Amino acid sequence: MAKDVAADQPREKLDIRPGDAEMPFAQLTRIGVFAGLSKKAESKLKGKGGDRAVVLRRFRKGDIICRQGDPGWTAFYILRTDDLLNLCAAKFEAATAADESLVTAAPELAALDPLVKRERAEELEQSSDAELICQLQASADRPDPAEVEALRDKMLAEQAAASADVKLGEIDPSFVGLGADAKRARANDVEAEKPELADLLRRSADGMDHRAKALVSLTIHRKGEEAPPSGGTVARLMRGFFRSRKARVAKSTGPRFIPIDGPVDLNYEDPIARLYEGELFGEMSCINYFPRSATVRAAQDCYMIEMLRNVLETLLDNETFKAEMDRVYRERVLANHLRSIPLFADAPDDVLEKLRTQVDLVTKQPGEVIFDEGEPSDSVYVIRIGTVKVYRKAAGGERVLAYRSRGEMIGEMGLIDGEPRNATCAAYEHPRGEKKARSGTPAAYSARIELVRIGVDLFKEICRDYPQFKQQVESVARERADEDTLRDEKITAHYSGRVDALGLMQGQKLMLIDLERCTRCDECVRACVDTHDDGVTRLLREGPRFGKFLIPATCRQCLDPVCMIGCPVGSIHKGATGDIVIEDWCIGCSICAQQCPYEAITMQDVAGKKAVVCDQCSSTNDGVPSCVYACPHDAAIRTDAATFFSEHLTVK
Amino acid sequence: MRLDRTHMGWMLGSVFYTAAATVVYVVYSITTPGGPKGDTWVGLAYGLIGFFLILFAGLLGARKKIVLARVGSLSWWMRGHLWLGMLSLPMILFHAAFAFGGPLTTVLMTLLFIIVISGIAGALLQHAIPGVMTAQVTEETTVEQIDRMFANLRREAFEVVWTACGDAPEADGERDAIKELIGDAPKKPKPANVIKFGEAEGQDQLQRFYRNTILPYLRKPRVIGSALASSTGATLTFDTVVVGLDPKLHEAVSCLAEICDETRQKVRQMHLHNILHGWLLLHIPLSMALMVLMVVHAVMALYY
Repeated sequence: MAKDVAADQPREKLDIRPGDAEMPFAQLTRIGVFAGLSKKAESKLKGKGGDRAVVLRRFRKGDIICRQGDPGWTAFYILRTDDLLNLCAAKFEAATAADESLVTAAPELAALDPLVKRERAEELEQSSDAELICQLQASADRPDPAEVEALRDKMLAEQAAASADVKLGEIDPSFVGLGADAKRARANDVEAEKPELADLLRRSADGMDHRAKALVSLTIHRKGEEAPPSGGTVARLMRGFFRSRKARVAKSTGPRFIPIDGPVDLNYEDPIARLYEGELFGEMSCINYFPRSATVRAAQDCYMIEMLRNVLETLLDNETFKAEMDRVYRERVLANHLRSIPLFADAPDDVLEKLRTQVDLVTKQPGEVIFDEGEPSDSVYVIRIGTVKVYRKAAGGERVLAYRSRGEMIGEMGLIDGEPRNATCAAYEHPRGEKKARSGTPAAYSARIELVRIGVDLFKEICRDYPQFKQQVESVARERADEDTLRDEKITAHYSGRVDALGLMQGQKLMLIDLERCTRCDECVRACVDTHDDGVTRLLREGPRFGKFLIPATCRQCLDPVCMIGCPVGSIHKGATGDIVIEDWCIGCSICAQQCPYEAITMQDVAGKKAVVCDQCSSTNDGVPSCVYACPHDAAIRTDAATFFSEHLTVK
Repeated sequence: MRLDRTHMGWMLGSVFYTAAATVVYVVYSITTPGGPKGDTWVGLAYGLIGFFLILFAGLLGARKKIVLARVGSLSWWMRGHLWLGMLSLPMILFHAAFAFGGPLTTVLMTLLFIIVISGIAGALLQHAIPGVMTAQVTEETTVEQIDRMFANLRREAFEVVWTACGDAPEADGERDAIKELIGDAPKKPKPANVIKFGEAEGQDQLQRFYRNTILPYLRKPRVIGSALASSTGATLTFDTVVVGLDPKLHEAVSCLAEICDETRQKVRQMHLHNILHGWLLLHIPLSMALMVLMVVHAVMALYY
């Protein structure tokens, strides 16, 4: 089917579909999170899209709100029942005022049926009497009293559930983070001993069901479900034999949670979650034009506010909204984030609970320094939203050590060894206004960074309460120190301009093919194909030459892995051996492929469009990549560029 | 495979075992009444050793099919193939006591000679040709892509002439042919870059040169005979053509010269590639035939 190219590009205004409504500023401010916006914000809210920068959308149960991998440039806010009641009240007021005006201006129209009024408004569309049209529309939009009454009943039920939530929180704060099913299970467990608690748990669970408006899910093309294997019978048999071991390796290192562009992370084994009213999703798509990180489907009839970037930015500056989002994050995601950090992976629940309630949530603007090299270490941070650049000052500028994104930790080294900060961390900022020639789409723009700050006192308290944590911390400290020493050694290597121009020094496992040895037999490429179940090569025997060496297009495991910047679902990361790994929930947005300066990441149709990168055959027994192992002429090598070139080049 | 110091161990080993086998053979031939034969215990031992050496050499092909199995790197197997394959020849000669024997053994011996000689020739070619290719073919691509590259170069040449002469060159269905080959017809140049027809002296001449000299070469670059097929001929031709052309057209001529040069490089690459791998067309089928006939010979010899 031909794709609508125009639909892939961000637009200045949103379209109105049947059942949707524009949101004039006066009505918008009746919604809780928009309340408190100054009149000054009105012009900013409208932007170029006028009133169409924000639209009230109605979704029926089962409607797809956005689909995983589709282009996205808007965010959605799920309206609460009380917001809807407020909107009804606003519409009711507007309709009453319009009726009064109509009685004076056009008495023959005032008594008409709402449907007829709407038709007349459409007939008058071409006329210059805009005021009359507005009055007719406002009068016709008078809310249905039965619908309002139903909403009011629903709100009362929700209030009862909310009071149950409060009581539960007072009894045991750990109940707050439980899902509806878990609450019902607990209710069954305590039914006999504590019937009142069971009742509270059930009421709270019912309230959650009422408030769950949408289901967010991710399609994961799990390993082993890819395209049928290629190659000859012998190759297929051998692959089958070795696959079981590979699958075990993949499973054992698999993640627990997948970060998505919403207020919840998805469980890898069951990647589906609920979105509740009062929640925001699609923020990263809206700010960065990232593709949708997951599919969202309406779980029941509901209303959502869809907004463009200018509206979202205004909203994010609003303290009321920010506080609400922080609360949701603290309740729903923070524990998962902490749990996915190796240091906290096995921490007891009470330690996580302590962290969840006592950490600070902080925001940094693009480019802003989070902490500077040499500063006293007073906290560690977990990244909640955005990308952080970790770098050190070096001769002639800075040297990037790593990029960290959602769910990762920064700044722990200083607290572990009690030394000042050994690197600077800053909110990552893309060069603005650059366009990627290959895709024609805008480069990812920078956005604010949100972090979870764990202060030094809290950190020490946990070390004291939880001795295992302290041991893990010391182990991580040693690993990081070794990494740093190795990196510093690499930095001191000398190199020529051509080496720099080709980015060779980036390669920690740079592939070189000695062209005076290579007979162009392509065994390396065949080996690559045979090693991977999807039958796709990660190696192209083409690229620039450096002396007698060919630098083929394949991953070189860069010191500065820019490919990792901006993955909307965090599916690209470094593996246990430093190899670049693209997880099976890749949504095929191609941002990593566009970011890679060496064209080492390709987009392939592997059970859906997916980014494919060389994994250095990390699942093989001896860690030697198959391309090197299969070269009959010792022409292919994988080497650390800094070491290799410092040994082979004459320093000038 | 580059024959360098890394082969030293294999080479010394092969020389040692050949020498040892020769000493044993000499002693065996002197002490055996009636002279050495293949059906004596010593003769059979030589035959068996030769058989296993050939079998090992033949397993290289199977080894290539099982990449994931870490049973020695392919370069180790390749060295083994090379040296043990060569070692098999004296073993078989000792086994046969330097006689060709009956029709089957004659065929076997002939095959073995051809295989060993072609293998040595192949090893020498693979030692020398990669360096030559690296030096002579600077714009190398994968050999499977060369035909497509030829088509791309034809499209580029078409677009260069179009830009320089203002109109698409009248070239006997060239545009359609290109579209058929690469699925993409030559693109109309940007108006700002086009030199309108009549603006520069010699546009007619350039079009004729394209039609009569460049296009036939680009269409059949492997056919010998075109002046553009050699570097010297091409330099002379382009130097001649450029005289009398408006300086505005010189850049176009230079582009066309580069296109022809790249085409020539691709042809050279193909030639070298064929030399590098062509001998395998003889070596591999004969090796397979040898293996089969060797088994037949063994069965017949033991049965009868």
